[in-house]
Amino acid sequence: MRVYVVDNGGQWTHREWRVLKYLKVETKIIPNTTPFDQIGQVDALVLSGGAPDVASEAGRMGNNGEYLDKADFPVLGICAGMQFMATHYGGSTGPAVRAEFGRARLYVDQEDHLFQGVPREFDVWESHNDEVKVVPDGFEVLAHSDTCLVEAMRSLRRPLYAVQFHPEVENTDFGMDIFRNFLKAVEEWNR
Amino acid sequence: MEPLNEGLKKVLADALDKRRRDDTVENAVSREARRAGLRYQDYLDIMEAVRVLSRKDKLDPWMAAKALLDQQ
Repeated sequence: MRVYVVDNGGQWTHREWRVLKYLKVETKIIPNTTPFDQIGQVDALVLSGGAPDVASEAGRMGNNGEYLDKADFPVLGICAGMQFMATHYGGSTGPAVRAEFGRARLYVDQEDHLFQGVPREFDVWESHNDEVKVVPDGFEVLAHSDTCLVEAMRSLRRPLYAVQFHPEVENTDFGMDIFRNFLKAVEEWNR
Repeated sequence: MEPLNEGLKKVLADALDKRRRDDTVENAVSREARRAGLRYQDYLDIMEAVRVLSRKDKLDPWMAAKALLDQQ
């Protein structure tokens, strides 16, 4: 299985790559300016976190829009990757009710693929000033925290998944399981 | 790449005209394409034309959208 990590400038992009390598996936980090047709054959993409305020700095998210338009395979958006996914499909983001930096308690609303086999509540690591305010049509919310209503979401029409928190960071409980679950979804998609 | 037909050009022109603050080109084009009752493939065709020009001439996507309309 080949899953590339799109680098949106986040501080933990390298950790996303490390987790995938640990899970024995062929992976590499690609700049978010890579044209879609130069990515080559992949089974999935991970849109990394990043610093941009996606509401006003979408230009710094490079070709993420093209990836979402053209991908006929699963995509996982993390943090800024999730926020971009939300705005790309007609949702919106804005300043968080309370910016989350550090540990937060996650409450799983829908198990779906991402949260199979993990508890309904567990701690995750966050690092965001903004959050998804309006979920795009055709997406459902999978999890929330005490102050952030949209901590995870997925498209009901395509294999697009997104999390606001950082599963690649050791301080996120069950982070590795979430990545494993995403890879299982990729396998199922390709069957 | 084939030039855009009149219907698609109008959608692109409307996207430029009715652009909202913080819109990406994708946001604006998809909104106008939906309003015009176009299909998803039409949106992809418009965006492909914009992206190809943006890369070829190293333009920001909005500048590429404007240049595309000026060209055609």
